[in-house]
Amino acid sequence: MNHPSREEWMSYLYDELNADQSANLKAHLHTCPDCKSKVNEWQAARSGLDEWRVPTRHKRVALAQPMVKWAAAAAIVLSIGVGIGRLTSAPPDVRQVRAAIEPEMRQELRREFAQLVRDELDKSASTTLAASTEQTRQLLAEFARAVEAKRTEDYQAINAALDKLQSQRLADFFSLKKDVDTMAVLTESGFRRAQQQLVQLADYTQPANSSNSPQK
Amino acid sequence: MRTAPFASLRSLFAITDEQAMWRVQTQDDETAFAHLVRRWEGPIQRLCLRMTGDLHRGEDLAQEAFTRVFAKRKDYQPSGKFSTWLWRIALNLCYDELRRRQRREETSLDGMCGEAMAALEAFVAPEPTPDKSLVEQERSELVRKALMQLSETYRTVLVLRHYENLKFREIGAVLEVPEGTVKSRMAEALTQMNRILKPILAVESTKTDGQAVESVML
Repeated sequence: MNHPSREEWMSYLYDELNADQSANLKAHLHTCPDCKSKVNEWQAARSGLDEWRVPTRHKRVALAQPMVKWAAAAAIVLSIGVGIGRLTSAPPDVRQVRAAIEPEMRQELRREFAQLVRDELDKSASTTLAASTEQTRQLLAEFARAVEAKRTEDYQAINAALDKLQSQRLADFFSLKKDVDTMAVLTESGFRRAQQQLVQLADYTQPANSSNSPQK
Repeated sequence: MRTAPFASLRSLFAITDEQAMWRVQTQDDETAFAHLVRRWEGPIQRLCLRMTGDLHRGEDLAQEAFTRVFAKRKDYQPSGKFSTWLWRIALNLCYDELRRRQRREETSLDGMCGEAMAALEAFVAPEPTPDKSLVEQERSELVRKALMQLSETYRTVLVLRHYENLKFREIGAVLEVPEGTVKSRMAEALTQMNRILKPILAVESTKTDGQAVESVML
């Protein structure tokens, strides 16, 4: 026996076949217990699924109120339109009525929705702006604090370095001065010694040489 | 029924979703966007609720879906059907949400406890109650839990075909897979669903019948 495929059975169960195809499959069900049992299982699952009922409430806090107003406005415009139509023409002409109502309805509709969306956008924009301003402020404060801390730290480091440099310079200066003083003293004594030697040299006399020669 | 004449009148002026989306795309038309939200809010909320099993999260996700539609309005291809694009956006948000939830559950012990508790709840006998609507609520909850046990792939086709009544061809377009694939996924999804639901709902039925018998005897 040629059994219809699972795919065909799905189309059958969800009514996506034409009348002939559907009749063929139905006829097959009567003659094939295997297919019948499979289809019964799927049907059971389908009935089971139907038992999950979800609440029909919609989260339409912002949209519900204008909808009522819009409906009321449209109803008023509609009744005016119908009244005009009845009064002006004996057999009411749908096209005329429609022409009378359409611009006003459209205008009303547009104004209502535009207002609604604008309000929503304004609200969300102001919330976002407030939040971002606050965040920016915090970030700026944090940044300023960080910069201040860094600056103080740098300042201290520079001061310390300057102090160190100053003391180093003084130390160098004193050591240099000491060296120069020592050198001056040494030079002075050197000069003195040289002077003495010069004086000795000047006082040097020949007689010693002449007295020695006869002894030879 | 009081709104029926009004609704038919409104349909005279109604623009198609594609026209509305075109206006949103080219002129940032607020009215057209409001029209789309109004038209699709309910179905998208239901889709998100059925996919995540969470009413409040479903509502939030639907809001998010419309925000995304507006943000990505320039990406919309006017040659395609608006609803196909919208379903796809909403489904992707649902998948993201499910993945986030899965990660949370994997990383937190609480999540594991939550899962265990949920599994336990499904089998622990609730307090007997003669109230029919409460019985219905319980069965509804069991089906919700059963559906949440299916993989995303199967749950998606079930939700779109069974609850949202999209044709298999349309689902194929949303998911970008051949129609035949959607149908075979549907068959597998129904088979799995039957396997999960059969014992649970059978137990529930006997319990309800038992209560009925008891109340008759009393």
